[in-house]
Amino acid sequence: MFTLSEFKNIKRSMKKRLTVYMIALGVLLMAALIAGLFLLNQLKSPREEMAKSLRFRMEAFQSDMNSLWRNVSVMGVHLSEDMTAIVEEQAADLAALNGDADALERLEDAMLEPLCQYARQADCSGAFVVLNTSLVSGSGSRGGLYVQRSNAAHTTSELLLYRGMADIGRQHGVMPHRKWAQEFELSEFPGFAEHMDTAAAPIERSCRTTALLTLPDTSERAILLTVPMLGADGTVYGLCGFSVNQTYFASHHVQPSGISRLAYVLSDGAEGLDVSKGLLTYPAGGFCFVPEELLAEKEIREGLTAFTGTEFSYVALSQPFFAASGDTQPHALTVLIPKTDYDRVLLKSTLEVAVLLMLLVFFGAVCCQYYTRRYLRPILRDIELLKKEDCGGAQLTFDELQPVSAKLRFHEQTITDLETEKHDAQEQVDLFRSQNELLLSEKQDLRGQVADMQSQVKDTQGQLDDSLAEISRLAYLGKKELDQADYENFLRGYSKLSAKELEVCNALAKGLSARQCAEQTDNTPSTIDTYRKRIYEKTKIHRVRQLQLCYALMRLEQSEPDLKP
Amino acid sequence: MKKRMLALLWLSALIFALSGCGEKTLLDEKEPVILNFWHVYGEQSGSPMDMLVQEFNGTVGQEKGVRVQVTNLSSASKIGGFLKEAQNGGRDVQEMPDIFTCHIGDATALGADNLVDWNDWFTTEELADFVPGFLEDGTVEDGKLLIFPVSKSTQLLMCNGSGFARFSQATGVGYDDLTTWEDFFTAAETFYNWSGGEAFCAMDYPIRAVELCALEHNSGDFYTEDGWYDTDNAVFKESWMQFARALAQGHIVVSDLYSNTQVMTGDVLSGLGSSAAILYYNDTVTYRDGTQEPMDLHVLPMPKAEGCDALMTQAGVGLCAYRTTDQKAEAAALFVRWLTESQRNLDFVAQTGYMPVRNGAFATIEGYDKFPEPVESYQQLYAALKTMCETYTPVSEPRFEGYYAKVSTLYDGLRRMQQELPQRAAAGEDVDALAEETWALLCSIH
Repeated sequence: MFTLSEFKNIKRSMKKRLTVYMIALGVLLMAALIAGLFLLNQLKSPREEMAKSLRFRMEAFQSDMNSLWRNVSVMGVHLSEDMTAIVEEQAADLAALNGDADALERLEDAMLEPLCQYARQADCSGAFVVLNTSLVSGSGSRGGLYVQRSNAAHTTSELLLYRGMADIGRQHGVMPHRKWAQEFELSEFPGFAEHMDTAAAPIERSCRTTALLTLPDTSERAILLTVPMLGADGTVYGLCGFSVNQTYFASHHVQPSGISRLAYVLSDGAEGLDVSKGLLTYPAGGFCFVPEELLAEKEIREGLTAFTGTEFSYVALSQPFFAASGDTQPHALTVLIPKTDYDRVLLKSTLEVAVLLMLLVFFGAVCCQYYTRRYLRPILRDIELLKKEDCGGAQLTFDELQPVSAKLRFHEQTITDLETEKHDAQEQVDLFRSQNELLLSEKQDLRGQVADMQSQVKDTQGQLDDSLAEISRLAYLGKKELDQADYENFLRGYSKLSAKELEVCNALAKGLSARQCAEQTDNTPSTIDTYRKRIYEKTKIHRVRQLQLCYALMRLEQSEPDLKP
Repeated sequence: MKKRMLALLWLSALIFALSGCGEKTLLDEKEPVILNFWHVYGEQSGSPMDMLVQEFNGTVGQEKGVRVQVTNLSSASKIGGFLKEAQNGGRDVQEMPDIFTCHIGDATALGADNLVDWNDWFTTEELADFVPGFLEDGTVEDGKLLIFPVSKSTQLLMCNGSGFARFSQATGVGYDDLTTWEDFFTAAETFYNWSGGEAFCAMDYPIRAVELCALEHNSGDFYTEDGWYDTDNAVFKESWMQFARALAQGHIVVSDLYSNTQVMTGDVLSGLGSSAAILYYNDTVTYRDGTQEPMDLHVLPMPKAEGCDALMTQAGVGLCAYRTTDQKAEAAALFVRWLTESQRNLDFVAQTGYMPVRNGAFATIEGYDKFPEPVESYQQLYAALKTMCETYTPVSEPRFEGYYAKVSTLYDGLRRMQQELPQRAAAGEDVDALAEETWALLCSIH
């Protein structure tokens, strides 16, 4: 966490502050980008995108299914009208045909060609007519015709007779199907008996689709659209309609899609999804394996449904679908993709976002680095150069800093000068201070000396007073004892004394013994004695007492000239 | 010593690298390759092949990244035309499938260079486990294996057991009387007379029966360079005339589409067609008046020429792959390899009435206990196949380009002629002369 001081540091650091601003700019740009995408409705989660993509495909699939079943419904109504007309023309009383192979053959003969025409024209794999009569009395079978395309994967005019009298088929070039049977066993066609029992006008509202059934003796799955054949008096002659089988459905209702692994299922509306009970088709050039087992259903986000099997899982969009106007139970349309693909899309999207962010960060970093290298560092370098007094001839990168440099140089010079002056002044101050201190010390010393001197003066004054007193006393005595001529001899002699003799004379005059004189003058007593004799000779003095008196008198005269005799 | 160690290390590295190369695959579990598949197994009814495709997609296909999608079901005689149509392209034409079943003639018509040579995707050791004759059927002159054998069929005689029992009881003709062509035609005549003019047998591929009969009589080679028959071959003509006389008299017919439907509708008592036709037989025979009786299907070996070494046709399409990318070729090879694994191939052929394609696999069918209903009919079928495999010599079908189109023209002509020839014969016209008319039809085709 940033502390306040660190934040202040950042604020003070040009580099750090710039980094913070650039991050802030990046965040702002990112926010602007996101806001823009959001406003333009481009900011969606991958789940939303997937749901939208599936919804788009579902719309196309639903449109195709609407078209398919509208086509067969309309054709079914026409077929019903035509077949009803043939029945009423050939044998109005169908019950009379029971067990009459010839009559039934005639009726089927009349019906086969138009039925084949309808089969070829309609968007179907087969067309049928179930008559409310049978060759076998009391059985659950019904006579009729069922023709199928010989190769459901191809739009071919060749038809096969799946149900009906074989000879009639052969005569019309419609060869019996390999799993041919003469009549419809109603138990093998769920819903037929119930529809015949409940058929009512108008037939347009009585078109129904069966649940998915497996055509008897084959593995071909199909959904049959049935339309009742109603006489003018309301007699139900039977049912007619069209079939759409799996092979035909997969071949002729290929869905446009950019996703290759996708499956489109038209199934019953039961819980879960069992493709063995539905018709499957795929995108052009695509395929999605869906196992034939009941896939458990679970709602997930964005209106999508997860279908989970033992080994395979799918994500799908599912919605109810009424194929025919008379359907009471809806079928279900489902568009599904493998969950692995769905997860991959999510992962891819996440990775894309991550990569995009990384790229943004990378480019941001590169830009910062570039900006730093190309702009910030030169500025810092220039600043460094500006800081230096001597840049060694280096040129500033930015011209804008040249005036600053000149100004700075001027200020630097001024500062240097001022600093020099300040330094000199400081030195002077220091000198003055030291001199002052020295003077103070000297003053102190002088005061001490003055005091000493005053003391010495006092002592000297005392001694002087003493000496004056002595001198006065001696002068008094000398005047009495000393003869003026002796004294003048002395003065003449004294002026002729050598330095050594003066020194010894002075010492003797002060009353020192020969021995003391020797010590003071660093001579032997005998030498002193020699010098005394010379002093005596030159001064014409004969005794120490006399010498002392003359000397004291001389000194007194020298200090007080008015004392001269 | 050091040198040896170094050499050993290099050798190990080389082996490791090569073993890595060997395992390289173009398939990706996450991005599965889709193979569109056209086949002929169970046309009009659905077949175990679709179940196998479903199983493959849910297992090995899922694991390796291959999805097989059946986009068309056709018949062996028509798929060649559809393939050629798809190869030429155009509006309302399906795209060329990645893998398909067809005859070698259809394959060469597509161009050998446009097809995958299975030799590139199977080792010699792997191929050695397949019946050599079946592999030869799918191999073209330059040695390319274009058609991989998945199943093989031959022609068998299948009888409406309920009807035959009545016939047998009335005339004394038994199944044993259908062993040779001579007896067969006698029985057919007997049935015709007994039934009041009904054909005894509908034949799906009568020209093949004529060929085998002629070959059994040592006709020698009777094919011309342009892929049709040498009409100067007397033995071949005599063989043709034998069948033609029966056809002219209405004892036999060329099936209107498939013989099994004519047996099921009670129009004929038996059908001579592919062993695989058993898949399409209903449990009952339904007559015009609506009455029904159990089919009680009896399956017998194809008749042979009396006193001659028996020959059997070796028919059946194989798997072919259109050459597009190596990835698709590898995926196709994976599917084919999986499809022809011993037990899976045995289960498949046992469901569909074909012969297995691996060496020795046929012997294991004897004790096979997973036949579908009607079990007894399947057991009879494989007993008949076993007899033929042991006592008949297989002969491959002609592989001339355009041959089957000519055959189709011939059959269409015969179907038209058989509408009137029996009446004319009944009216007293010379049977040989009528048969000559059919011969003239054959001669007219070029």
